[in-house]
Amino acid sequence: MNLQRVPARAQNMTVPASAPPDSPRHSMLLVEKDPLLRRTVALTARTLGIAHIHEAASQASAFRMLAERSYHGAVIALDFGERRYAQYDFSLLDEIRTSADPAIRDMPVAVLVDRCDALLLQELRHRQVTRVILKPFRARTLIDTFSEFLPRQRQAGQASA
Amino acid sequence: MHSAPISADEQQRLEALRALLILDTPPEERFDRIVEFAAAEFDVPIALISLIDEKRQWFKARAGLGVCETPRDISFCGHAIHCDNVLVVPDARVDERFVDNPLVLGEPFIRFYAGAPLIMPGGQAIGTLCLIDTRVRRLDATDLSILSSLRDLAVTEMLAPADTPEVRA
Repeated sequence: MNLQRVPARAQNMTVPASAPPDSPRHSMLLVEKDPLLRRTVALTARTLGIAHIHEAASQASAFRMLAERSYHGAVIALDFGERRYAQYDFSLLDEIRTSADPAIRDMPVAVLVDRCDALLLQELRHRQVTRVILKPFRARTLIDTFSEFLPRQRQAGQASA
Repeated sequence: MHSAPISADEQQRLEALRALLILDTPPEERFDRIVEFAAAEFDVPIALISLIDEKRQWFKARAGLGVCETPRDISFCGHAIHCDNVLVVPDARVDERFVDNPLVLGEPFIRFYAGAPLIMPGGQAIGTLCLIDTRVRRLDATDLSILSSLRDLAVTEMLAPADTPEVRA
């Protein structure tokens, strides 16, 4: 057998696209425009074994991804969509909460917003948003949010068992 | 003070660094964004992408620091490239390697340092993505993982052609 020696450091190196030692069982959705924030959260969540984060750069991409599979939770950066400067676009949240698939309809959802007033909070409560994250958005906050979704899923799983 | 050590594979390490053709090149937004993101994420005044050349550390990207290079022998990053994981110095004033380091006793008055080595596919550590603060700090497992993720993204950018960045606003 012809074995080649690999430098010790090369064996230990961390490469973003490589599989982590333990692939997370949970799949979650992150809808966020900033690729650096998105990639950092996805890589870290996978490394820590929290979840496999599916990344969507836009709400349009998220619509397509939700049509293909369900997730254990979602963090969604709300934007103004077509209604620029008027109000946040809730169409993705409404799509989730009215889904025929209970796994999608009942999943925990957090939103990222620039600011939040009482009216917006009411709209978000109406759509069973679990957490509202205000700017500046930090990777740590998003990772903690995805972590908080895990017990909720376990509890839901136990309740339905 | 302990001077930054030189390892046996120094020549291969320098060859790997120089093969990137990155030393003394102008600032690039794709790297600037990473250090700015790191500084904001960890709430530190200074974040750097530091490349360890033969006699100096040169900063490809810097947030919060005016100079573009410092001597290698007094660099913290010169120590960090010999670590397999992130080198964390919670308080340089009580660490015998750095207690009388000019960067601790004078500008920028380093107290806290965390450096994640930038490791090339061949295993050579060419520099670091590092955080610096003037107060004592500690990082938990999640912080270390976030810093490592940012380091991985920086390495990916270094290995990618400049006109096809993966990290873009």
